[in-house]
Amino acid sequence: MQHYQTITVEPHVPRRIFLPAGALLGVSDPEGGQPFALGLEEGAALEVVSSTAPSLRAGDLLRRQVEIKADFYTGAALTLRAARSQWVEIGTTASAGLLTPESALRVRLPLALPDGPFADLPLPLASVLAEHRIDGATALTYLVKAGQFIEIVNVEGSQCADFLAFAGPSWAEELDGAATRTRNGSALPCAGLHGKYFSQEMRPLVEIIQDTCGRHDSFLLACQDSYYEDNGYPGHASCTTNFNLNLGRHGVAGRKGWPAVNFFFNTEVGADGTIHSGESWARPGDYVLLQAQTDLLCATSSCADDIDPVNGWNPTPIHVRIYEADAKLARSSGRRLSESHPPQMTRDTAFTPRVRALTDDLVDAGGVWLPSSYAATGEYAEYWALRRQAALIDLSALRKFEVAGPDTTALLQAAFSRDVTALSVGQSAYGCLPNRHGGIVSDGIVFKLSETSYRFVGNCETDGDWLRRIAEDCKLSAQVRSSSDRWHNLAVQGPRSRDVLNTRLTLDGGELLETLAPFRFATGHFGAIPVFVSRTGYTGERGYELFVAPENGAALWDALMDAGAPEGLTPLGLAALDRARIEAGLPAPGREFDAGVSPFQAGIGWTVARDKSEQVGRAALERLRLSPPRVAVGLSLEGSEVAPIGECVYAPGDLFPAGRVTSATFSPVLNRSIALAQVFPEYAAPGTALEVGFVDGLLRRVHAVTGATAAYDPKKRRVRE
Amino acid sequence: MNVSKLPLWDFAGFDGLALARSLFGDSVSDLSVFQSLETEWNGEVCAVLRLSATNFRVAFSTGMEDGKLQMAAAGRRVWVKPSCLVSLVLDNGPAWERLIEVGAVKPPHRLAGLPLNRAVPISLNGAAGLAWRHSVGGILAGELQIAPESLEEICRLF
Repeated sequence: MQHYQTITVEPHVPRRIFLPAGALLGVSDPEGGQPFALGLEEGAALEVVSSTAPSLRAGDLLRRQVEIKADFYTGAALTLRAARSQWVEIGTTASAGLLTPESALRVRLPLALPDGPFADLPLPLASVLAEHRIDGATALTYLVKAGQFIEIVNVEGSQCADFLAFAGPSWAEELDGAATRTRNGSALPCAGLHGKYFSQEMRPLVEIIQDTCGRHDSFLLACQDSYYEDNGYPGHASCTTNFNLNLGRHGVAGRKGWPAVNFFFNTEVGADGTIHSGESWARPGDYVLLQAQTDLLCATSSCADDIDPVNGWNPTPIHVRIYEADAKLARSSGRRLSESHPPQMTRDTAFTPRVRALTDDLVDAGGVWLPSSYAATGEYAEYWALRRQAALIDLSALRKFEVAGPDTTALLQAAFSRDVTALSVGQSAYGCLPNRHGGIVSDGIVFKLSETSYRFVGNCETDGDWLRRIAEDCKLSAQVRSSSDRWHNLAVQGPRSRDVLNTRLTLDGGELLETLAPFRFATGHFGAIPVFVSRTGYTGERGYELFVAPENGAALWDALMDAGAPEGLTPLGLAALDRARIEAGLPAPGREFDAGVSPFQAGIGWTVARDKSEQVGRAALERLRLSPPRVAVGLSLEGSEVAPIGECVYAPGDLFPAGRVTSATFSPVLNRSIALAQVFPEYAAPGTALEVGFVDGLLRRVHAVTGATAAYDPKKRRVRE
Repeated sequence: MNVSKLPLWDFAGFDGLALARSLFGDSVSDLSVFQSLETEWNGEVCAVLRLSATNFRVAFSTGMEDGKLQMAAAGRRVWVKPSCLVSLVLDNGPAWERLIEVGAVKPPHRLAGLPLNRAVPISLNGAAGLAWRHSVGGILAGELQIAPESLEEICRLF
């Protein structure tokens, strides 16, 4: 059986793909309008199986160099069959202009290599030093040297692979799940700062470098005989027994149950402490990449469990590849945004090289590496620089979309909560994308670039999919194309932000920065660097966001740091940013809203325009406007203790909750503990006395009073200054 | 390298930040974790190091009479006690360079280029310590705080 994977072919980065005879190649154009070329070998041919492009029909034969014109519409798809085993090159062609930038293609291709015994795998990540096939329901051991990489590939998907590692004399030092969880402060290591697995000697044995699955287990033993015996399967093969058989050859004594890292094993600890398990999240070709921190004896299994869903009742092979220590393999985690998206690996922004020089404390934020705080300053100093001087923030995790076409305004009137017909060119508006039941798909800013073109800057890559879907449902002629890779953005925020920019910024048309009002934007140059400047921010201070082409990102960072030094410009990480946005009462996705929370509950009901008949979810929004189930409030707590996020809020003396804390922090500028909460409307009036539950909600309750969501500068005077 | 005889004082608890502000002024709330400032309290020059949101360590330059800090903390939900750590004063030249050479810190901490008034947890030949760059008696220096049982081991490294 042929297994397939989906990859992304980025603009300007053609991919060479091997197709075995008879295999299918699928190409889809998720954003529409993207021409591409196929390069075939001499004598090779691809048969069109199906096509939504009018220029191609089923049965057509494609040979040599073929250019597929941009007659594709959003989501268009082409399926081809290889007449013989062959290599095919596929790449985007032609630049479509600033407002219709080139976009990525999604390509579904067979997991297949041109030669070698394993024709069912994705391409290796580097030159392979050794590889091992672990048949279903078996295990094996292998040795790796310090620094070498271990790739554990899920060949067919839905298969768990338990992993053991031993170090030291007689392999006496082994992985310890409790030590690992304790050292990392998380249930499972993930690529980045907290990516190491430790031994009982607290020594790192392996580090996870890449992971495309995102769901593993470190709590449970590898499956043992007793599990099968208790379920009526005496004598059933188990990973523990398979490990014992292999490890015995290395002098490692057997166990009744091995505490393993169970890769691809889907477990979750519920709020009541119960450990749930279910079918693996792994797709064919998913992998984890580890790096040995010392010389290791490793053992990996293809889990033998065929009596429950964890391996889909069908153990299948696991493949292990070993790469040399000098392979260039960057840390990243894969995120699946939807089933049609291939895993998106964590990326650097244009500013990350500058950021890495200043800190090792980076986190994966929305698929990009962003700093949590900087080594030389720390969270508080960064925070105070923002409140008193100026701060520089990499906000490139925001996703950008160019929306163009004759029906663009109609599309945004339907999709976006604000009335975009009220916007003039050069103006922007904050709002959200409501869904049909009045929840929030995303929040963001619409910039009106011209009468028929806009830019939407939101939180998630799938915002574009949502906009395209609305365009399709409403039969609107509008293109939505991602431009996140073309625009990386830095925020310069704080009372001296204008002084920082005024040192070198010239705006087109001779406009002065002083006259650029909030939610206005302009183009210009910082020194010689072209920038798109927006008077917006996420901090509660006067501020600007500078959008720049990635090739100019490092130069812009350097120029801003140089120009901003006299004004105290300080790089600021996500920890200080979160503190500032809570003070300013600004909502965050996943905290204040999600697809089940309305704008009225999230505290941004003011962004929902009235009387917009075309608005998606209008009926639900009007109902929720009149009677939201919960209301956003700010809480001012007695004392300096920070409320636990998710903790219940109570009316004094009540045992049942009146609401829940969504975000909380200690406000240095206000010198008190504050929180954002969502409470039942009966408790939302300003000045209502409430209690926040600490510990178990009963042992200690802290008095709190409701107020505006923005505890800091609630009238936004500083933003408007 | 000198072994400092001056005691370090620790305080921690729910009201740790409130106590620090009352003792040393509002500027202590500007400190990030493992940042410090030079100030004075009760006529004594001291350095205040923040260890967490609520926990602080104070190094007095001329000693501190036992009980004074506890009295200042009366009524607050904090504990105050002299630290049992030994403090080694390292000159800002060869001794600090030697510390950088033999010390290991875990990411995201960085020892090389550690700015003034910053500290990092450090491991020296398996012994744990806290390296702190600040001014001692008005002179820029490094300070290494270690458990008493590690003193002999650490001294061998310098």
